[in-house]
Order: sequence, then C-alpha cells, then structure tokens
Amino acid sequence: MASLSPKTGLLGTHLAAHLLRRTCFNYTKKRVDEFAGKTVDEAITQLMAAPPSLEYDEPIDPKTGQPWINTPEPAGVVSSGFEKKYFHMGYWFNELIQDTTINMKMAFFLHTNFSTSWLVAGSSENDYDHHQLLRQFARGNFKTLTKKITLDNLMLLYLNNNQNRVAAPNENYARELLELFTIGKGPQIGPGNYTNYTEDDVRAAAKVLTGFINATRTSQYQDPDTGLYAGRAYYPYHDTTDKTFSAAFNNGTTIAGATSQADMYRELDDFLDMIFDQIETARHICRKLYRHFVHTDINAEIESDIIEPLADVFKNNGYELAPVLEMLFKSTHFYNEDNYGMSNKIIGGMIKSPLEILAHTIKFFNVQLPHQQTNAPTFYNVFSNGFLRGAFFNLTGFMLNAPDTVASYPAYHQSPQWDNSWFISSTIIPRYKVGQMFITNRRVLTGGAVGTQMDSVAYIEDPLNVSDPGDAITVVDEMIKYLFPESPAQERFDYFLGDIFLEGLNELNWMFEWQYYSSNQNDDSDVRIPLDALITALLGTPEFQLM
Amino acid sequence: MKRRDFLNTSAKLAAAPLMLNAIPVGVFQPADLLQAVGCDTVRDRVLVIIQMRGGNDGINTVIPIEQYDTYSNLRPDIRIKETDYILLDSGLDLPDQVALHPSMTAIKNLYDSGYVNLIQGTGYENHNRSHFKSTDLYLTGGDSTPDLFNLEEGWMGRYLSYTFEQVIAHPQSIMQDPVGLQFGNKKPSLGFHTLEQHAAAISLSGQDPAGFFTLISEVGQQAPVNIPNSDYGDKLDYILGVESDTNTYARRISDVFNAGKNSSTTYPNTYLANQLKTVARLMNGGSKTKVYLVDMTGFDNHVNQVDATNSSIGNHANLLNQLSEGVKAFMDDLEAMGYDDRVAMVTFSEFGRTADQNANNGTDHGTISPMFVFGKHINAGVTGTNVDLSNIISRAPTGFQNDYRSVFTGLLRDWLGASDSAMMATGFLPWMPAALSLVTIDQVADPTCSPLPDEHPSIVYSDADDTHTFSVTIPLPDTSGGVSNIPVTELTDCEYVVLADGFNALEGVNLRIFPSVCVAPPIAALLVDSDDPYESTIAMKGTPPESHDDPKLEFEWTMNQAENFSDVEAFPNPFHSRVTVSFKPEPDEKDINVEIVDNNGRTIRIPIIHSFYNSDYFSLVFDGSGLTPGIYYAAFSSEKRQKTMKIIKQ
Repeated sequence: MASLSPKTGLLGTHLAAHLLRRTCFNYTKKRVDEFAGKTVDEAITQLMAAPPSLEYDEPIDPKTGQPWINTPEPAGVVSSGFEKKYFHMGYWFNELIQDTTINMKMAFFLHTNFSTSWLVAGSSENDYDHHQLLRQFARGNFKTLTKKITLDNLMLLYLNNNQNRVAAPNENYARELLELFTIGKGPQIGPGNYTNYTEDDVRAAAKVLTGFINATRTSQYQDPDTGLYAGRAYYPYHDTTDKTFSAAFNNGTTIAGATSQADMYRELDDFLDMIFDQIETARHICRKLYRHFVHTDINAEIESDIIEPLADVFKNNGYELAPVLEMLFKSTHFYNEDNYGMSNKIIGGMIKSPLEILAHTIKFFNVQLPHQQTNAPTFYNVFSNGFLRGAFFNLTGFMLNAPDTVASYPAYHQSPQWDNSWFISSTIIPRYKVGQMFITNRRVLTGGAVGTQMDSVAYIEDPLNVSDPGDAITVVDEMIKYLFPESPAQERFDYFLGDIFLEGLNELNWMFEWQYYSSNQNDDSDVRIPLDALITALLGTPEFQLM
Repeated sequence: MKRRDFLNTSAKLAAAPLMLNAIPVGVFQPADLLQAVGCDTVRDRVLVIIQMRGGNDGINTVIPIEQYDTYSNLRPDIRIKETDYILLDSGLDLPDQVALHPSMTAIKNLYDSGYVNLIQGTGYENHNRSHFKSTDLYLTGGDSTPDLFNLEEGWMGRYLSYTFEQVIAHPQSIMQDPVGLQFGNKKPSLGFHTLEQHAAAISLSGQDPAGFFTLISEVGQQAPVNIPNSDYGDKLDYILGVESDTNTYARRISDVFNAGKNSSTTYPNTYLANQLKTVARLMNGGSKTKVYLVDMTGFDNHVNQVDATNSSIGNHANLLNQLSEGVKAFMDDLEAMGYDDRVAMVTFSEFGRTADQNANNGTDHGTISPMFVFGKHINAGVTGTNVDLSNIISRAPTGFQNDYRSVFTGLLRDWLGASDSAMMATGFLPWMPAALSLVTIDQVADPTCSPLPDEHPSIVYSDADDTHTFSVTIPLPDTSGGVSNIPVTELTDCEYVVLADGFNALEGVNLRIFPSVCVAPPIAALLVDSDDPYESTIAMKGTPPESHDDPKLEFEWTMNQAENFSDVEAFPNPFHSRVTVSFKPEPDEKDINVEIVDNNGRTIRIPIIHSFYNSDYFSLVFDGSGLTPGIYYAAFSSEKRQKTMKIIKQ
C-alpha cells in the first residue's frame, strides 16, 4: 500500500535529482550532487528554508533604467502601463528560476490554486503585490493566505469582487473561492447541489464578500502583516444581513452580518472559519498538492493512504503548509519506496511544464540571462518580451502568470489529460528546439534573437559539471544521468555518444581535440560543434520532457 | 431557389408546412422529396463546431420580444433597445418571435437566405454553472446525473474513433487526413479525447500550417528503445505516440494547406475568421477532415458586457459581430468555391447567463442558452420558443426545451450519416428519439452508407479511340509500399511506370501493373490532377475490353527509398558564421563535390574549417562569416546525381 512513512538514509544521485526536479525550478548538477550526500531530513530542511532574498527587488523599466513600483519613477519617457505588465512577467520568471529553496515552486503552485491573469486585470503594481504575497506565504499558512488573497487587489479586479455590492451582488469571486480555491466541488446530488456546497451557498458567500473593494496605491492601504498594498472593506457596499448556509456546512451555519466596517473583517473570518472547518477543504488542497508534485492519478488507495492522512495533518496544524510538505517530501511514497503499484509509479512519470523545460535548460547549462539593471533593454525587450512571451510561452500553450481561466493551466485541472496536455502536436517544435534556440540565440518559428546564449564549452570546463571533459563517455554520461529521469538503455546511450557526439569517430579523437583546445584555447570550434550537437539532441528528446 | 424564398412562396400558395419533430421544414420539389443523397456526397461532408468559451449571454443574443417589458426590467442598463435590435422572422407566432442582437446583421441575412436554424433553450437537466465542469459535460456528452458526470472521453473522439478506426493514425488513400482538427485553443480539447493510444484529432493551434511539416520533420531523431514498464515508460510511450501521429499528418496538412487557396472573399481579420479561413483553404487543398473544432473566447462578461453609454456596442457586441461576420465570410467563401454543399456548422457555449444584469453592466453564470446551426442544407427556422423571463430560478430563466445532445445527435445522424452502432459508440443512442431534424429532408444522409469509400481504386472507362482511362487512387507514399487491385481487361506487357517529374507528392514512386497483359506501348499518358495529386489517372492504350467485369489486375507501387531521405542537410540554418553541411554518399559514389553557390548559381569560395567523415555521413564545416546575408545553396554533386539545400545567412 501507499505510505507516508518517512524515508531514511542518504538520498543518492537518482533520488536527489527526482526531489530537485519536482520541487525547484533551479535544477543543476551541482545541486543534485550536493543533495545526493544528504539524508532526506537534511535535504528537506534545506529545501524548506526561508525564502532567500530576491535577485532584484523589483522590475526595471528599460526606457528609464529605473524601477517604478516601490521607488518613485523618474520623470521623462516611461513605458506604458501594459508594457510594465510584460516586464513584471519577465521579472517574475527570473525570480522563479533563481530560488534554491522550495519557496518559488510553492509560490507557483499557489498561483495555480489562486489563479489570476496579468493579461486580464490590474496594473503591474497589482501583479507585483499579488505574486509577492504568494511568495511570502509559499510555505506559510494557507488559510491566512486565503484571507489575504480575498483582499488582494489583483484578485479583487480579476474576479470582479470589486464590483460585488449589496445593491447587486457579483458572485464571480464567491463561486471560484468555493469551487476552486478552497473546498472544491463534490458530486452533483441535486439541482444546484454540489455536495460540499450549493448554488444558494454561492449566493450567500457573495453576500459575505460584498464591499471588499480594491484600493489604489495612493490611498496607502498597506497590510501590516505583509507590507504589501491591498484592498479593503467598505461598509456602505456591504450586505449587512445575516447569511445562512446550507446543510453542507455543519447542518446550516449562519454568519452574523457585520455591524461596522471593522466588523466586516470579523465576518470574513467567520466565513473562512466555516469553510476551513470542513475536512473536505484540506483534502481538496492536498489533492492539488499531490497532483502538482507527485502524480496526477488519485485512486482509492492514494485517497485513503496519502490524501486523507495529509489532510488531517493540514487541518490539525491550522492549515500550515510546511508540515504537509515535509511529510510528503520525506515519505517513502514520494521516492517510490513504498509498496504502491507493481512498477515505478512516481519517478519520471510527469511531463514538464514549459516553465520547467525552460528553467531546467537555463539553470542546468548555466545560461546567463542579461543583467536587468545594466542591460535592461536586452533582458526586458529581447529576452522577456520577445523570446519568453512572444515566442516560447506563446508557442508552448502557456503564459506565465496568465492562465486562460481561473481554473489555472489545463495540466493542473483538466482530467483526464492532466500533464499530457503540455505535449501535443502543436507544442512539439518549441519544446524540442529549446536547446537549439539557446545555442544559436535564435527563436524558432517566430525569428529574432533569444537575448542570451548557451556556452557549451564553458559548461564542461567546470569540473563540477563534467569531471573529466576530455573523456567522451564521461561528457555524455554526466549529462544524461542528470537530464534524464532514468538511465537509458545502452543502445540509447551509444546513439548519443557515437552517432551524435562523436559522429562515428573514435573516443580518442575527442580526447585529442579537447587536449588541443585546452592547451591552445584560441579556437574552440572543434570542440564546440560536437558539444552543441549533443546538447541540442539531449534536450530534444522524449526523456527530457519528463521529470 | 433559397430555402427561405421557397418558404415564403409556399406560404403564399397556402401549402401546409411539413412538420418533422415540430419543425417546419418547407415543401420540396416532389422529385427531391425524401430522396436520399448519394454516399459520395455524405462522405464529403464536414461538421464545423464553434465553441464559444465563457458562457454566452443568450438573452442579449436572441431577445424574446414578446417579453420585452420583463426583459427591460431585468436588464435596465444592458438591454438592447427596441430601436436597435433586428427582428428575425415576422412569420413566427408572437410568443416565438425573437430579435437578434444588432451586431448580427450577417446572421440575419443568412437566415433570410435559409441557412440558419436557431435552437432555443438548449442545455441539460440541472445545468452546472461551473465553466470547467459544464464545458467538460458538453464535450464529453455528459450531464449532471452521476453516471454521465465524469466521462473521460469526448463525444467527438468516440464518434470519430469508432467510425474511422481503420484510418486514425494510419492514413490511407481513402482518408489521408486527420479525421479531426482543432484550431485556436492551445489546450487539447477534451471533446476529441479518447483513451486510445492515438488521438482522434491533431491540434494546429498557433501553427502555420504551411511550414508545419518542415519543422516537425526537423525535430525528429532516433527514438528511445527498451521503454521500461513504469509510469515513466508510459509517459515516453505517450510522447512517442504524439510524435508519431503528428509526423504522420504534418506533411499532409502542410501539403493540403499549400495546395489550397481561398476564393476572393474578404474575411474580417478576427480570431474566429482566421480559423474558418484556414478550414476553407484546407478543404480547397483536398482535405477530407470530418470535424473541425474552432474556438471563440471572452464570453464571460461579468463586467462591462455592454458599453456604458450604448448598450448595442461593447464586449459582447464585438464577440457576436465576430461570430456573425466570420460565419458569413466563411459561407461566402465556401459558396464561391462550390463547397457550400459540404459544410454544416454548429455553435455551443457551456451555459447561458442570468436573466437579470448585475451591478457592473454584466451578467453572471446561468443555465440554458441558444445554439445556432448554419449551412446551405440546414432546415431554416427557429426550433422551440423563447426562454421564460417571468419564471426565474436562481436568477436563470426557465424554458429548457432541447438537450444539447439532441442537436449534436441530429447532426451526426442526418448530416454525417452516423449509423445506429456509431451513435451507440458515441453514447448518443438514447438521444436518437429526441434528435432534432436539422438537415433538409432531401439532404438527410443514408445511414447505411459506409463512412469511407471502398479501398479498391475504381476504374473508369472512356471510349474515345483505343485509349482506356483508368482512374486510380494512389496511396500516400510514406510507407514502404503497397498493393491495390484494379479491375482491368486485356492489357499486356505493362512495365514499370515512373511517375512524371513535377508530380511532387509522388516523386520517386514506381508503379507496376501485372500480370503482363498490356499491349505495347502500355502507357499512353499519366494525367496528373493538379487539384488532387492523389486522384491521378493513368491512360492506357489497348484493345477495348470485351466486358467491364473482368478479373482484377494487381497494381503495385513501391517507393524509391533512396529518394526519401534528405541527401543534404545544413545546421544551423539560418546561420550566422559557421554552417555544417552534411550528406550521405552512396557506397560507390564517385566524383563527389560540395560547394556553396549563391542565388545566381555562382560558386562562392569560402573556407572549410573542419570536416568529419564516417561510412555513413560526411560533414563539412564552412566559415560563412564573410558572406553577405542572403540566400545560398549547399550544392552536392557526384557522377550520379545533384542535390541542393537552401541555406540562409543572417
């Protein structure tokens, strides 16, 4: 049976790679090697550390070379409001992939739970506050975050709670709060009755949420807990009646209507208490965590052996995320060392998102992104707006922080395809050509530059990347071992070594080429060409699609 | 005569309208009445499904004018003014009277031409108000009952994979195209999803069909071997299946797209119209794809559904205009190209919206909504009556009349000719009694027609001179070879036939007809049909046959494998400085020469800085850093052959 019992002993390379692939966008050989020598407890402790500081505190406007969000914007020609939203997307991409802990991966998970879209609503400042909020709560208290999200300006605008007023309730946010963000929909057992809540509950929830509106930065509503700008309660828009919920909530809970503006926060707390008092809320979120980090298939065995115990831990700890994550990532189940299924059910059994394809490529091969302050036009205009937004994300059916719907990207909510939806006929080309794009600094399909380039020779010159760069077998082996979730068959290895890297030549030929290059250092083309071909080929494989 | 004119004429003649399932279908020429259309006609038919994502506001799309006062009270700010809306059909009874949104003039014109059926009050019992769940239900053929709430396969996928099982992922001459194609939405549609290894549809979303094949063929490399028995192995199998299906169809899609063209019809430059324009072009290029799923999005207008100062314009108006003008341009294009007989279209949206407006000039999630069916052979009219705005449940209007499956079932049965067994596989057999009759009675498909033509190429005799013309359908030459039978008489001494140059799709294919019974010279001509190179004709000279039902003759084709691989390859291409030119010489090939040639055919001397060689491959690395940007050719020649590859210096 599937088991959450903790794994003991050292991780080793294979499982350290698995852990880091699933929990970090910053995936490198050095980090795998570092984690391989740790026990599971040591590894998780390091992974669960507080978020390291951001590489850049805020995005830069390439027109001014200066930030604009928390720093007064210089006078003169500045970029438009919508351009600044592009810039924030690129800024956030960089921050996601630099993090060496689980925080940014969790912030992205929380984004797939509380989905918003920068393409649809809000300003770049709203985007910034929203995603900083997710980062602050990445391994914090989920219930508290739900309250903060309810008052988050981007969410207030995205799901129209800003327009939800006593005179005419707008139930958009209330509906998604129940259906997607917290308790989730159960089987439909009657007209408008979804087991865990009813259509009448949606309307009652909308009434509770009336009068929570967005606030501009100039009005200075800063949340003292987070230091971030937020929306606020506005009593004249609030429905002050008592709200009664269906039998799904403890046989019908009544929430007393607020008697003042300040009391609206009490009413919101009561309402969230009611939702979070239901074990189904904990289970719904634990299922999402499991699908995001472990496996998309939740059968009866997983439900009883993994989801239910995790949900109990989650609820009993007042919806703190950390104990749940620790339990999950320390478990024998996560490492496929329990007795679940006849074969390997976990490792390599998930298709990478476009974000992971890109992040793992950039970090693994140490591709240097343009400096955001000294080279802002290249980072923001060429790399971020041109390559990320205009080419790679667009072509792979993904836009960072802008899913098509509030249910988030299809891979995280659409049964039965789940992660298979990343890899379809229209996304093969950009996914398989990711290596070529970074090697040539050219975008496929759309044309134009990537804005940065991979240096394959420099990569293997670092002994922590390739221990013996003059040995062809070592070069190929130390890439494949870390890029592919499982060791390939010998025939497959020989294909990359013989057909791609050596092109039929003897391994000694590579050794001589490398020695000649190492001693002269003037022209690297004899070593660069086969290395580029090898990396292009390895990144354009079915195996690299998986994690 | 257009259907609508005919209805008017018959009304003048006081002819009693013929009713089928309570739908007036008009009166037909006696000769046409109930005359089934031929199987070839049915096999050419196409269904285009337009998905309106977000939940379309049916009440502002189709306004119940007899309830106008109630409507105005419910929607004081977003109501369409009486002076603005378009009365659809004054011939309807007052309770059934509807007005279209003012941005739908094109659909009004189509209606007047007899090309539209508006189906009122569609949905399913206990309509689910979640975008995601309700979309899933529409695409899987499900509803709110427990058994049908979590179906995993799409109804389109079930229909297509049952009906076209033999050709899905295995294109043959009788069906070379993917049976389903999805546009627009990069999310693979659940509608086409099946649990089979091969998908029923190929997604072209975001791809330029013209270059699809070139790019797909470039990414291919050797596939992994010894796939492990694990979830990792299952995922590898899935990826290899997608690769394989895409490869199988990519060349065909690009060829068909490049061979096709639109008429001179002007399409608006909108998201929907661009998709429909591509569908028309693919049809013109010879595509036989059965189901196209095209996409619209943006209907979830909780806020600012209408402009604050003018309720006739704004977000919803723009979307309806996009639908209306896109469909009209598509129909015009089809008519100009003579394909209007082949296409039926149907719209759906996951739910309608609330009867009342909210405080933000918007509407919230509701239940029932109207569906539109368009086409030359569609029963024109309005099916059912208006929603009831005086009887509201949870803010949504009542008046559910037509289950959405009765619409799709009617189209699958009467338009595409789905048999009972196909309907059972689709899961729509229970909906057969309720299926709407949406196809004019003279155009109802015969369900006994086989969905695909016979596999054997047919033979057609022309009696001019001594020449017998055999129309043969030649299988796609992307497998190693095959054998077909054609019936033929009294031919001797047939030889290999190498198809003519310029017959690009079949270059390198050898044909042989045997036994050797043709008279010499056996081959008079190869007539290549430029519109459809796979339907080419071989004219053979010989003695006129004594009868037409003689034994069959074998017709064999093989592919010249040597012609199949890329002889010359260049990487990277386009290049900046260095470019590697690789080629595969044959073992006995002599006098090999490789050079870079400019656009005028002049040899350009540039340094060769590196070379690799093994028994299989020869690679030269040229330093092109001194070249001016432009088009060049890597030219390979030997005593046997010459090959060139275009390379671009940037």
